[in-house]
Parts: sequence; structure tokens; C-alpha cells
Amino acid sequence: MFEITLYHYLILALIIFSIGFIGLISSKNMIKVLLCIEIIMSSININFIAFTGFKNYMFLNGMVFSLFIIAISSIQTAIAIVLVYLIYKNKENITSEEIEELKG
Amino acid sequence: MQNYILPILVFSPIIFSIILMSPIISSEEKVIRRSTKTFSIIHFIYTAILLITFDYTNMGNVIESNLKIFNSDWIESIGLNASFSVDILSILLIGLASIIFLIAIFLSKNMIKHSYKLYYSLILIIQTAVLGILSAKDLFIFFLFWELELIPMYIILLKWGSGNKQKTARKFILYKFFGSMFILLGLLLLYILNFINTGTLSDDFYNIDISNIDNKIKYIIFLFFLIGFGIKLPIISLHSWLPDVHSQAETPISIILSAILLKVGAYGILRFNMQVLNDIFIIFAPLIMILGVINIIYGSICAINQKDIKRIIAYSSISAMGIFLIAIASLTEIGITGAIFQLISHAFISAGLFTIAGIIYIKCGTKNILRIKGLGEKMPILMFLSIPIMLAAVGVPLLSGFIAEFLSFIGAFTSQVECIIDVKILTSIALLSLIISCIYILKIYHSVFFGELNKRYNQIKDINIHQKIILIVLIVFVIYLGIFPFSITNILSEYSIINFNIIGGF
Amino acid sequence: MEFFVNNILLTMFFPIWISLVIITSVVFKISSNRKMTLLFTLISTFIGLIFSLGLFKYVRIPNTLIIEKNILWMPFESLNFYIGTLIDSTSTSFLMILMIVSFLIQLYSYGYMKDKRGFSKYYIYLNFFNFSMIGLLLSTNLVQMYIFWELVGIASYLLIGFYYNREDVSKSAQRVFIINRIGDCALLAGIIIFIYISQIYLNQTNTDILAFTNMDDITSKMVLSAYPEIFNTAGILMIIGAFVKSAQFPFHIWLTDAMKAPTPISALIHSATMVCMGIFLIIRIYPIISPEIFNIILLFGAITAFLCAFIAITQTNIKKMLAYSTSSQLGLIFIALGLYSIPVAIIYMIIHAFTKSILFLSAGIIEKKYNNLNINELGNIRENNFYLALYWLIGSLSLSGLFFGGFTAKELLIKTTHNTNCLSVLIIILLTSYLSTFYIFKSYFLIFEEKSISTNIKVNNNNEKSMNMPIIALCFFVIIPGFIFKLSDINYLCLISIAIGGLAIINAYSCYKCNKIFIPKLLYKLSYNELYIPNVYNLIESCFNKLFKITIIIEKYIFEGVNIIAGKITAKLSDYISRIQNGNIQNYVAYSIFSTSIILLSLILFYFIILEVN
Repeated sequence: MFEITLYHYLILALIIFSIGFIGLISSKNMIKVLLCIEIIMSSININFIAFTGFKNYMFLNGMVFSLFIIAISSIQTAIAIVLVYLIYKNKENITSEEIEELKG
Repeated sequence: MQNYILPILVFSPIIFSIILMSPIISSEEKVIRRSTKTFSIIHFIYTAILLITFDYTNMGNVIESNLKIFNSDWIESIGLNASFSVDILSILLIGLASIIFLIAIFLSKNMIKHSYKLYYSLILIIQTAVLGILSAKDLFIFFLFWELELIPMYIILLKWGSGNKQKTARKFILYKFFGSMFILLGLLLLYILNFINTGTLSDDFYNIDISNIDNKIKYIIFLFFLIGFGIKLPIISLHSWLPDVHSQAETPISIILSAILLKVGAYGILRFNMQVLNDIFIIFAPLIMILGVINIIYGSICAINQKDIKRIIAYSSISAMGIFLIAIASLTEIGITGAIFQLISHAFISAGLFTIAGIIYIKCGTKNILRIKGLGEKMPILMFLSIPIMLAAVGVPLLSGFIAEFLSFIGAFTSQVECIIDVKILTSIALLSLIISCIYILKIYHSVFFGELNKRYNQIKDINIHQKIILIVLIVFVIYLGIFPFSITNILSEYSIINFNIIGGF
Repeated sequence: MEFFVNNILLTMFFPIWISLVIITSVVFKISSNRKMTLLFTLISTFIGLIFSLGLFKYVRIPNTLIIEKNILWMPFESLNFYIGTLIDSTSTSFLMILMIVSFLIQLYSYGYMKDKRGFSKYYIYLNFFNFSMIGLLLSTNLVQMYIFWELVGIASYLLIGFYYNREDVSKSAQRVFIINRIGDCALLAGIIIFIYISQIYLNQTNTDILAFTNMDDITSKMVLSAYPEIFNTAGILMIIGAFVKSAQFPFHIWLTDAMKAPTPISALIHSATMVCMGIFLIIRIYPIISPEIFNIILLFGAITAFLCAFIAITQTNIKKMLAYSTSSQLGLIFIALGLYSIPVAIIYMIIHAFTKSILFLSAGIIEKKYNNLNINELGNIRENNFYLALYWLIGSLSLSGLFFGGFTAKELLIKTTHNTNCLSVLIIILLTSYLSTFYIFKSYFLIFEEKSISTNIKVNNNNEKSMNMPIIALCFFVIIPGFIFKLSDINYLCLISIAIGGLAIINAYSCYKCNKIFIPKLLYKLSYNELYIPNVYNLIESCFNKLFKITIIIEKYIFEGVNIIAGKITAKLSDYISRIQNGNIQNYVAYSIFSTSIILLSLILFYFIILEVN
């Protein structure tokens, strides 16, 4: 049997990151975009915890930082949902292709 | 005290312009104009005292001022100092600049009709910039003052112009910035190469030592400087900003542009291309001579075709700067003396020509020479006073234009620079400019003053005492330089032998 | 005598000082008195006259005494320019003629310009002309001569453009200036080449190479050197300058344009003094001209003399005819120079100056009285103006070389030609004298004798004393040299020339009686249209105008085109690049992460592969 090393966790994080990234750039609904951002956040969490678990038992910096990420990402999601709601109120739809006000 | 002579000279106009813009001076036109005139006269007297008490036997830097800000050099860690110095070439051009600015400010009396405060303060800022360029000892002080005069010129072109102001102003500033880009590159390369060569960070360009550097980089620096300064002193193919700007700007601005700013470009070539990079100037001298001949011939031929008085005079300025180019490319003592003399004499001549054009424009309301005819009836004194200036532009002896052209041609003909086309053939082509220049100058003079009076100009009066005195001052300078050139050529001939790399012969 | 020598510059400074006084009074509108202007001018010329007479006695002919004084004008290390005065027999004789003619014509101008505008301006220009002419005659070296050469040209241009209200005067003045300028340019080119040669071949001696007194030294050294071609080029260019100034063929066209000036100016500048400057130049640079160039001078002098006389026989405007006559007579003087005989040239020039002045001044009186200068329209003047006819007759006899001073001059010329055994030149001189006699006597008969068709309306009838006195004085100067001729010198050539003259007078009388000229129609047409040379000049001018219009195209399409293309490229480029910013956030996120990952990848590659760290 092969051992589960650090690299397996990192590749898992990479796969989850790419799923989230592809969903981020190609979804038409703003809520989907927000969900994909959450997915990316969780992949980053996996990354940090993997490094803590495999490299350093005494310093728990990685786990502490992932706790921070969970807390702050929830605040960020809350504010993002409020912004999306305001856009919906002004424009009656939230397809990302129609929000092009800052065109150059 | 020695430390403050030059900074007072350079910075006093800008300080006065700040005072002018503040509410201390009231907004009446008379008060603004008279206070500016008073300041100009005081500044001119200060410059005159400097000129008279200058030590003309010392060929190096005579007055040096190191401006210390709060007792330390400017940015000492990278070697930038705020230091000014003048030597003979600089002080002559500074004297010339003071006279021309004085004349321009006096001439602005009836030609500016709105926003007086802004106008006079912008002119004073340009004066600071010019004096700073001429007296800078430092690479970056030089560049700072070089860039300083662009924005005031742009604003003046936009606000007080005629015709298609926006396009002309835009063309002007884009061309100048393009040139400044090349100059900045050249300055930076000089600074870095000096550091590589000597190990010390210093940007004093009189003491740059780049002797052990490979020649190819020096060629590139030379070409950068040539392009950058060549936009200012217009070399043909970089010149298309000049005719438009001259024909659409007001007369005092045309005078300042043509009499001072073109000469500042020539000063840049003299300092950077000829003094700092003097060992590779010989290699590029044939190129500069060919460019000079093209300037002369093309400028004169273009001037014949124009119908606007100011455009004709603009092209004649290009032609005159061509004479400067072939004279410095000759690398002879007589040639370089003739070149610097041409700078001084052409400033007065073009100031006079633009004054006449400006007076005609105010009285008649048009610059098109096909429509103005027969003004000699109504303005005989203007016609009479414009004769010496027209003849000086053509190159008639006993007026300063002849001395400059004569010395330049002798210098160019007897030079020992080796060129593809022989130097003698190039000078012979340039001699044709004597004939072509009289065609267009006479065209101006005869179309405007001779012939039957056009009926719509029946109400014109002759020029007033104010304008008469300005023209007479210019004529006196032109005649004085023509009859007694030895006051300047003595000094300049010694100076050119010592400071420039003269090769053999005459 | 020392006083005259030391203070010779006073003669130059008096005119210019008076000129400045009049200028200030004009520019600042101080009222000026006409009589005072005239008086001051006359005083300055009179002082010049006394100086030149004193010096003439001092120097004496032939040139044994030369006095030269120089001041350093512009010193350079390699070449010094001087300004000074050179007094020898040539300059004093020219100076004397200038002063006499100038004095008389200034007096005449008072009467002529009395009722015209611009009196003060006229005298300013006249004084300026005096000043520059004296400066020219006293110059010591080539550069100083060039300076005053151009100044005299300027004085002549200013006086030609005197009546500025007329359109044709404007065009003529421009043309005169440009043609004079071409000559000056050639002279300058010659001087510069001369300086260049001296640099090569003299090897830093301390002599002033441009001074006239040093030219003998220079010639011997240069003849021994091996490059005569450049030397000849300099000589030819200087001679072209002389030709243009003295209105030789093909540059004689400016003299007809110069007749638009007031008539006293035609007398002073364009017949007596300025057009003699070419002769003066050749006399001064005599040592450095090679024999081939003397042949060229001879050739052009002969061509001019004959062709201009040929053109003059059919002209109807008095002044135009006299202009061509001046060209023709100057051609004869150049023939004399080409035959190496300077004294003959100077004597002929002196007598021609006086003769032509008489003719021009009489033409001025006719112009003032009848306001008409056409020979065919004037007639029968002798009835009311006996003295005018007398002056014209004296002038005609002298011009044609039959009597008085002209006879002496022409005989000397013919004798010189005979001594050098040049048959063709002799024939041309005789033909020219025939034609000269013909046209001048034809004009006499047509103007003064009775004609059936004569339409002259008398405009004013006052006989100005100030206009008649100078002509009388000039007549004396013309008559007196006629009696110097000794009877023992008559030989067969002399008789032949008198016979030719008589034949020409009879021919002229018959033309007057029948009122037409007996030459073939083709030749008449050629002569009346001045050999079509003005048309050639106009053609050249229009060709150059078309050529110069090329630069308009270059300016508009190449230099402006560069600007426009640069602007368009920038606009297009910014158009393309600004499409990246399309307002879609997801695109931005994709771009940023993509580029960050590329940078990181390249850094890793750089770290591992290039630096070879494992």
C-alpha cells in the first residue's frame, strides 16, 4: 500500500481550487460565484492544515490561520450577499454578463 | 555672497510671479503691467551689472553658486547638487535672454486682451526656466528647468492664440515631450557611465569622465542628445511644430520662442554634444553639416511658398539655425565664433521681424500677405524702420547678420572635416541661401508696404512712440553688432579655441 | 597735405552724420526745412571734394605714391580682418569724379524733387549712397570692398523703390535687388575661395592676404604653385560679380528696371558711379587675374557693346535707350580693360560719366516740362527750349565720339586696339560707334526738330536755375578735354571713325525725315523686344517658382503625414488594448490569476533550471 503523503493533500487542494476557479470564471449567476469563492477558501484551508499536520507538530500556525480564514470568509460572504442583493434591487437581474458599467 | 548671486538671478522671476498671482497686486491691467515692467527693468539692471563686471579673461567657469538647502546638498547620497555656474557662453546668452524678455513684456501692451495676471506670471516662469537652463551646472537641475518651460508655453498657446489652438498646442507639447524623453535617457546614461568609470556618484557635467567607455555607447548617447536638442533647434524632419506655433501664437510669445527657446536648444548642443562628448563629435560632424545644409535650403524654399507673414519668418528661423549647424560642424575657430555670433544676432533680427509682423497684424487684422497692400501710404515710419531689420535678415554688411553668415561660411569652407560630399561643395550650396533669403524677405516687404492702398485700411494710424522705441532699440543692437563685432568676437574666438576641439587650419 | 591724409575718414563720416540727423527728424516728426537739408548735404559733398582735390595733387599720376592705413577690425588667431583707407592714384581719381558728379546732382535734385513728396527720405538715401561709395573707393582689402559693394547696391535699391505707390516699381525693385544679389553672391564665393587657397599655399606668413597692396607677392607665389584651376575659379567668380554690377551681357537686364528711379538717380548711380564699380574691382584685383580671364573680359565687353547698341536703336523710351547706351559704353570700357590698358579705361569712364549725366539730366528737364518720355510723341521742342537742345547736342556729340571729350576718349581706345593688332575688336568698336551715333542723333532729331505729328502738352514752364546750373557745369567738363587732343596724332583710323560718324548722322536724319528705320523686319523685331532676354528671365523665374512648389507637397504629405500616422496608430492601438477592459469582473479575475501563475512558474523554472539548484 502506498502511504498518504503531503503531496496527496496538496493535489487534493489543487483539484478543489481548480473546480472552484473554473466555476468562478464561467458562471452566470452571481450567487454561484460567491459559492465558488467559498469552495476556493476551503481548498486553501486544506492546504494550510496539511502543512501543519505533516511538517510541524509544535507550531500550530497553520491551523490558527485557517480558523482566521473561516471567520473572515464568513464575514466577507455576508457583505458580498448584501452587495449582490443591492445590485438585484437596481437592475432586476444578477447575470454577470449584464453588469458591465466599468467598461473601458 | 558668491553663493547667492546666481540663485537670485534665476529664481527671482518665479518668486515675483507668485507674488503677482496672489491678491497683493490688484487685478487692474495697468497695475499688473506696470509692476511687471518695473520688475523686468530691475532684473535687467541686475543682469547688466553682472555682464559688465564679468571677468572675460577667465575661460572656465567664473561664477559658481552652490545652493545649499538647510545646510546640506540636495540629495547627497546619489550626488545631486543644486549648483549653478556661468561661463562666458552662458553669460552672453543670459544677457540676450534678459533683453528679449524685457522687449516681449514691453510689447505685450496692446496685444493681450484678457487674463493679464496669468499671462505675465507664465512669462516670468518661462524666464526662470530659461535662465536656469543657461546657468545649470548639474545634470538634473538642467533637466528640471528644461521641463519647466513646457507647461507654461502650453497654457499660453491654448489661451491666447488664434486659429486651431488645440491641435497646435497638442502638437507642440507632444513633440517637446518626445525630445525630453531622449534627453533624459542621455542624461541618465551619462550619469551611470560616469559612475561605472570613476566609481563616484556625481552629476556635475563639466567634470564627467567617461574616457574608458566603449565608443558604441557614446555614439548612442550622442544620437539621443542630437534628437532631443534637434527638436528644439529645429532640424528638418523634427520641425513641423514650429510653423504652426509661430503663426498662431501672439507676438510676444513668438518673439520669446524664436529668439530664446531655439537658442537654448543650440546651447544644449554646444554643451553636451560638443563639450562633454567632444571626442566623438568629429565622427558625427559630417552628418551635422549635411543636416545644416538641408536646413538652410529647405527652410528657405519653404518660406517662399507661404502666404502668412509669420510662417515665412518661422521658416527663415529654421534657415538661420541651419547656418549655425554648418558652422559648428566645421570645427574651426572662425566657424564656431560665427555660430555663436549667429545665435546672438539672429535673436535680435527675428525679434524685430516678429515685432513688425505683430504690429501689422494688430492694425490690419489679417496675416495673409495677399490681402494687405499699400500700407506705405499710411505707415511711412514703420516702413522706414523696418528697412534695417529686413536688410539684416538678408545679410547686408554693417548689420549683424552679415558678420554671422560671413564667418560661418568662411569657417565651413576652410574646415578639414572629411565628408562624403566635399565640404566645399556643401558650402557652395549653402551660399545659395543668400539669394533665396532675399526673395522671401522682399516678398514680405513689398507686398505689405508697396502698391495701391487697399480701401479698407483707410483708417489706420501710424505706429506710436512705444513701438517706435522698441524697434529703434532692436535696430541699434543690430547695427552695433554689425559695425563693432570685435567686442564679442575677440572673446568668443579665444573661448572656442580653448573649450571646443578645433581641428587644424583656419 | 598730411591733414588730408590723416583725416580722410571725415569725408565718410559727414554724409552718414547728416543722414542720421535727417532720419531722426523724419522718425520723430520734427519739422524739417528743405533748404537746410540741401545745404548740409552740399556742404558734406563739398568737403569731400576739397579732400579729394588735395589728395589728387598729392598723389600724382602715374601711381608712385601709395598710402595705406589699417585698423584691426576682427582679429582671429589664423586670419585677421582689417578696415582702413588706401590712397593711390586710382582711388583719388575715382573719388574726384564721384564728388563732382555727386555735388552737381545733389544740386539738381533740389529743383527736381521740389514739388514731390518724400524729399527728406530722398536726401537720406543720397547721403547714404555717398557714404558707401566713398567707403568703397577707399577700401584696402577685399572684405572691406565687399562690405561697401553690397551697401552701394542697397542704396541703389532703396532709391529705385522710391515711388512706392506704383505696382511696377515694386516688381522692378525686387528684380534689381535679386539680380544684384546674385552678383554679390558670386563675388563672396570668389573671396572665400581666395581665402581658402591662401590658407593652403601661403603657409602661415604674417601678411594680410586680402589686402590689395599684397597682391603682387601672392601672384608670384601662386603662379609657382601647381593648382591654377581653383585660382581661376576664384577669379571667374569675382569677374562675374563685376559683370553683374556693371550691367554686362547677360546681366544687363537690371539696368532697364533701374530706370524706374527718379531721373537724377539714374544719372548719378546708374550711369556715373555705381556701374563703374565693376571696373574699379577689376583694376584693384588686377594682379591676381590670369590671362585667360582677361580674354573673357574682352569677349563679354565686346558682346555687350555691340548687342546693347543694337537694342538701343529701336527703343522709344528715352531712359530705356540711355540705359542700353550705358551698358554699351561700359562694354567698350571693358574692352579697354581686356587689352591691359588701365589708363584708357579710366579716361573713357570719366568722360562717359560726364556725358551720360548731361543726357540724363536733360531728360529729367524734359520729363518735368512735358511729362512724357516717348520719343515718338515728343517733337519740336527746340523752338521754346534752345538751351535744352544745345545741352542735348553737346551730349550727343560727345557720346558719339565726334567732338569734345568723347572724341579724345574714343581715339585713345581705337589707338590702343590698333596697337594690339586685334582686328575683330576694332571692327566691333567701329560698329558700336556707328550704332551709338545713329541712335543718339535719331533721338535728337525726333525730340527737338520739327515734326508733323507731335503731341506735346506743356505741363509747367518754369526754368529752374538749380536744374540748369549743373548741366552747364557738366558741359564745361565735357568740352574742355576735347582740346587736349594734338593734331599730330591723327592717323587714318581717326579719319575712318569720323567718316563713320558722319554717315550715321546722315542715316539718322533720313530716318527722322521718313519717320521709320531702314533695317530688315526680323532685326527690328529682335531689337525692339530687347533680344527677348526679359522673356528668358521671366521663364527662368516661373520655372523656379514651379520647382519650389515641390516643398509644399513634401511638407504636407511627408512631415505632416508622419504626425497624422503616429496619431492614427496610437488611436488604433489604444482601441485594441482597451477592449481588455470589458467590465466583466470574472474576466479580470481570470486574467490576474493566469498572469500570476505564469510569473510564479517562470520564477520556479528560473530558480531550478537556470541556476541549476536541485
